[in-house]
Formats: sequence, structure tokens, C-alpha cells
Amino acid sequence: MKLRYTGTLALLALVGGLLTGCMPATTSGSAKDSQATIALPAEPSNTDPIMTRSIAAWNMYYAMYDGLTRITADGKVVPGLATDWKHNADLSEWEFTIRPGVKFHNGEELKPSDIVYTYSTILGSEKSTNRPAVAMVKSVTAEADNVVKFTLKNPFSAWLNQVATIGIVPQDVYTKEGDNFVNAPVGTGPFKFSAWQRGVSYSLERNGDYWGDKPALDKVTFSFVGAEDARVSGVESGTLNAGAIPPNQVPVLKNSTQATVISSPSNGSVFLGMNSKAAGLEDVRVRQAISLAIDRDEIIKGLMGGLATPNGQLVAKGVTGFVENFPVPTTDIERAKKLLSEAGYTGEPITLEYATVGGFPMSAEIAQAVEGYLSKAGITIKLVGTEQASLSLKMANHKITGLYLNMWTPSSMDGDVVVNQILAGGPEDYAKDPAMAKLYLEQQAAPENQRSDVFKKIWELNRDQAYTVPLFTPSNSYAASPNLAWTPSVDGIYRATGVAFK
Amino acid sequence: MLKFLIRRLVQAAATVLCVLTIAFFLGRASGKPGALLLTDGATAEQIDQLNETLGFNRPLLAQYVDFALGVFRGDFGSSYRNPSIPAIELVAERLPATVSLALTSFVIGVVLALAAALSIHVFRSRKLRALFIWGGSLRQSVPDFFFGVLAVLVFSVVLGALPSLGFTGPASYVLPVMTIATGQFVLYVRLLDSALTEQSSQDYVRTAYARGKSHGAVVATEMLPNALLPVMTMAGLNLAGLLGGAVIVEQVFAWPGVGEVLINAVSQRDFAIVQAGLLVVALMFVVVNIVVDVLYSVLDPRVRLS
Repeated sequence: MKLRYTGTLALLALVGGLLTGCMPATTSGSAKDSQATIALPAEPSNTDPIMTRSIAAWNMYYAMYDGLTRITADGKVVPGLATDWKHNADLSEWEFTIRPGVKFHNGEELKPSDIVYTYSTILGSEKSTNRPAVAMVKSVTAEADNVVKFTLKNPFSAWLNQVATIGIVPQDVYTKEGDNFVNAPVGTGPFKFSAWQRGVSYSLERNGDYWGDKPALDKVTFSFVGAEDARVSGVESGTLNAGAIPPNQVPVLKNSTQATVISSPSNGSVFLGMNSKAAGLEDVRVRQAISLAIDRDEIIKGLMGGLATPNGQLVAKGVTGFVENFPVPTTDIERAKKLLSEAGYTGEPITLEYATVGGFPMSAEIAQAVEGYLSKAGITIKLVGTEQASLSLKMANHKITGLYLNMWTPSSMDGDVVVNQILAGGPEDYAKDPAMAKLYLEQQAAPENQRSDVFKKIWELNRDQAYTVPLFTPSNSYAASPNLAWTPSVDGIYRATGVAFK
Repeated sequence: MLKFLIRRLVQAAATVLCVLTIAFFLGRASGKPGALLLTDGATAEQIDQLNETLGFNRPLLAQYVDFALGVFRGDFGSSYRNPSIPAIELVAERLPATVSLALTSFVIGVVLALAAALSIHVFRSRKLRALFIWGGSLRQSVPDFFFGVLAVLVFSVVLGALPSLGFTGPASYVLPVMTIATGQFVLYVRLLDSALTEQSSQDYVRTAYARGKSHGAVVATEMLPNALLPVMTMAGLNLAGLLGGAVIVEQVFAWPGVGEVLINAVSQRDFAIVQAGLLVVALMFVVVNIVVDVLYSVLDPRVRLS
């Protein structure tokens, strides 16, 4: 690219030279060993851990707050503010023993009442977007011996994952500050709040008194950089130390000396969802034909640069609910055609909705590839591209009229929410299959060592009925400073503690 | 003059109100935003309840009346995602970044174009004209987002001389300003050049020469003031556009301007911020237009404001 535009570059250098002559050049952001700047693609609108649940904000939450449990970078649930826990036989009562001697950033000691307060405040706040995530809590109480007890409305096997996503706040500070808590937040996490320059950056500094693994760096700054190109060149020029990039930028950086590429498996699952009650799609043979017509390997090789794994289930490896060795759907265009003719499908158009902007990386390209495969099998697809928010609203409001392309990344690292949302009663469940609903409840009440068996039945039922067509699990790719010693997390949320320099 | 200003201010208020009304209904027409807030597996009832709590289930007209009454009190509401800060404040805090970038780029673009056009006419040089018009057109034919990326490649990645993104100090202005200013350069050169050419055959120019004025003085003091008039309208529109946020350039350079906050708010359906942002954009246009009209009357006594 550089060579092809030499003419433009020469002109650019000329004009640039004129302009830069009078301005001092600064070498900004060259990585000092005690601080790192990391690009986030989006700025959270709010960083109040009580009120706001968002993927962008979790980058801050996991640095500044602790949950009763923690989800590690590789997706494991480990003790957090609770050292220990137990539950009753049907998984509806959970008791957590609180870690002694933990201090908030303001020096005050963590008490069980802070945990009760955090959960009660979420439950009592109608505007809190955390509320649905803990809606199954019937009561939360502080018991003797540093124990906090949750009584749930129904058995809930994924509760340990769920509590990891709720950061605990100090009762006295939050009560006093309310809405203004975001401007001077206090938690127990490995990093303390330093500054939030809206639209620009969010800075954290090391909490020297942290009870757990101490951060490697004194300071970590999240810089908000929406454009992919800007993240790539930001890392290459040393302004940034790390930033997420789409798969098509990976080859560009392969030979760069100023940035390395780090790719690692994600917790995301790309799939074709559908309104299985819509005309054309109500016949299971048509739905199965759709799955058979798509060549997942070719999409992965051609569009994802090989940075994805084909998948036949709706959760990725590492997420609870993933079944090892579950067969990847096969491609068989002839069988697809046969099924379509058996079903009497005669080319009625089916819409495929996807995100042109704001969606997961490469979603528009993948939608076009899917359209190609399906038309090869004889299915007439009408592509409808919108921005992600419009698509999300349609999905959430049960307004899908045909197929849609989307990705689910369960930040709780548990498949419960995915099954609920797409297959068992949630807004994206069009089939309303009673057998699926039964399996879902069975999964919620299953002890940890038996959940995998139930999930297997769920994925099998989904495969046989083709209520959704799982496609693949993409990798997360990052551009990073060559001297950065850091392993990305499976959920794509930064763990500021693990960021260090070689 | 006073009468003129009062009339224009009333018109301006009506324009702004129209913009806000359209923004209000277009935003609402795109759906209730509750579902966008609850991203991980909320039930339909929970979504509906949040919409209810946030007031999005009320009749549209009732919502509009509340909104309009708020506007008359100077209250543009606050983001339902972050109620701790009024929406207008969230937009206003982006103004320094936007205004400084817009004004710097605009002034540099216009000054460069003035210098170019003047040199063409002072030296009566076809070669200079070809150089500036061709060079400028070549630059203009490269879209800003691509030019910006190229500029970053050269000056930040290869030369390591300038920051590639952000709003950190004087150096961070160079690349975005260069992108905007050079993109608009040729537009002003063309307008100025053709205006100066037109002026050069006017009677008053011949008279000026006859009075013994030098060629340079005639171009600079006689022709230029007349040639500025047609440029002003276009420059005003451009400036207003820049002041409303140069969305593309802001994205390429992660510049924390009004355009960026507006785009984010649209994609999150954060109505209060969208409305506050559009208010600012509309105000920019209205104010710049009034200033241009006043400037016209100052520069050209034939124009009367009435």
C-alpha cells in the first residue's frame, strides 16, 4: 500500500513538512516500564458497578472491584472476596465465607454488610442494568461468622459465575455519593481510580494494599479508540501498548517490527439465528439445509485468516456448557438441495439480517458469504444490513422475520444465559420448544459435574431441529508493543493486573 | 442592523426548534432503547419494565411535551445511561476539542489558499495556478479518512515524529489539521482564483493602474476585497460543518470531539445526548450564517441588512 501511493505520499510529505516545521514534535506515549496504555474500542457511558452492566465497563470493574468470585483471564472461576462457598442440594441456597482483612481503597475494611448492600441496592434499583442478572435472588443476608447467604427463587447452577460479574462497593461511600459515585469510585480491586477524561481515557493506579496478586505496573490507562486503523497505527507508533484488531489486519502486521500480533481463542460464538416460525423456515428440512449448505472451513480460511474454529454448539471452548468433541456440522450441498426439494421450497425469499457497522469483526463479509452458500443450494436470500443497535433492538424485541447473523460472548463464562436467550424462553427463542424448555430447567438444577451432560442434550436438540445454526468461534486478535508481556483473556475483557513489560 | 439581528435570531430559534423536534421523533421512531441497555439475556418483561421506568412507554406526545417544556427551561435532560451529568454538559465538554480543531484547520486552509491565489495573480503565473489547482485537486480526490491514515503511516509509524491519535498537546493537532486544511484548500483556491480573474477585467482595476498603483498593490488592496465576497458563503458553510464535528477525521485520530460523541450516542440510542449534540450543531450553523451576513454588509456597503 505504501508503494502504490508514492505520488500522494510525496505531496503529503511536502505539505506535512510545511506544517510541521513550526510545531514541536513530541514522542508521546513511548512505553515506560511502569505504565501501559491500552485501547478500548468503546467508552462506557457509565462506570457505576451498581447501575451499569456493559462489556466496555467490565474492563474498569475487573480492575477496580472484586466480586465474591473472580473470572480469571483463562475463564476459570476462582475465589474472590469469598474464600469459600457451599450450596444446598438443589442449588437454591448459597453461602459465601467472606475473606477477612480486605480493605477498600479508602482504607476501610470490607464487611459482609457491604456485600448485602451491593446486591440489595441492585435489586431495589429499577434503572440498574445489573438487576436482571441477579433477579433470581429472593434474599441476601449477612449471617454469623463472616458468611453471606443468598436464597434464590429457583435452582441456579451458574450462580458462582454470576457473582463474579458483580463488583462490591462500600456501603457508606455509595450511600453518600449516589449518582456521583462514578466520579470518585471506591472498590477493593487491584487498581484504584485515577482519572476519567471523558471521550479520551480512563486511568488507573496500582493499589499497593491489594489482598491478591499485585499488579505489575504502577499505572494502566484505557484509551478510547473506536477506529481499527487508529488502534493499529497507535500501537505501531508507540502511542498505545495494545489494542484489539480484526482478523483482516493480522497479516498487515505480520512483518512489522513496531508491533506484534497476539491471537487467542475467544468466548464468542458466531451463529445464524432464525425465526423458526416464519414462512419457509417453519420446515425443519429447510433449516437443516441451511446448516448443510454453509462451508464453515472455507469461511474461516477465506475471511477469518484461519483465526477461528468451526463449532456445532452455541458456546465456545472454555465457557461452561461447551461439550468436548461435539461434532462440527458437515457441509453437504447435495443433501441440502435434496432436503429443500423434499420440503417443497421453491425459492421464496428469506431475509438475512446482519450488522454493517458496530457488529462483531467481519460480520458484513460473513453475511455475504453465507448468502453465497445458501443461494448455491437454491435458497433465495435477501440481505438486510443495519447498524448493530437496530439489529440488537430487533432481536431483543422478538422482531426477527427470517435469519440473522450474530455473535454471543457470555461474559459470565457460562452457557446458561445463551441457552435462555436464544433457545429457551428468551427474546430470541421463536421455536418455544417445550423439550428445550425442560432441558434448560434441568441444566439450571444440575450439579456442576452433571451440567455437561444436559448441555450435550441441548446442543443435540438444537442440531436436530436446527433452531439456530452455529458457525464458529473466532479468536481475539490484538496488536501489542513488542516488549509487552501479556496474555489476552478469553472473554476479551482486559485484566489490568496481568499487563507487564518484558 | 438591530432589526435585522432580532429577525435573524427569531428565525434561528425556530430553526433550532425544528431540528430538535425532528431529532426527537426520528430517535423515538427507531425503537425503545431499554433492550440495548440490557445486553445479556434479560427477559421481555425486564426489558419492558426498564422502558417503563425510563419513561419510554409513555405516549409519544406526552414525552415530546415534557421534552419541549424542558428545552424552554434550558433543560435538555440527561443521558439515561449516566444521569449524573446533564447531556448538554457531556456535549459541551467536547466543544474545546472540536472548536480548536475546526478553527485551526479552517484558518490554515483559508490562509494557504489566500497565499496561493494571491501568488497566482501577483506573478500572473499559469504554472503556479496549475500547481496549486492540480496539487490541491489531487489531495481533495483522496478521501479524508484515507489521507488521514496515510498521514499517520508516514509521520507517526515510519517517522515517529507525531502522535497518531488523541488530544494531548500541540503536536496532536498537526495531522488532523493537515488532513482537514489540505482537503479544503483547493476549494478556496478555485473560488478565489476565479473571483480574482473576474475582477481583473473590471473598470475599477484599470483605473487603479491608471492612478499609478503597482500590480501587487492592485491585486492585494483593490481586487482581493471584492474577490472575498463569493468565497465567504462557501467558507461559512464549511466552517459551520467543521464546528459541528468533523466526524470522519475525529474517528481516524480518536479526537474527542462533538461528532464522536454524537455518533456514539446515535448508536446507543441515547436520545438526550443526540438532541443536545444536534442543538450544538444547529447553533453552529445558525451563528456562522448570521456572522457571514453581517460580514457581507461590512465588506460590501451595497449590501444592506434589513
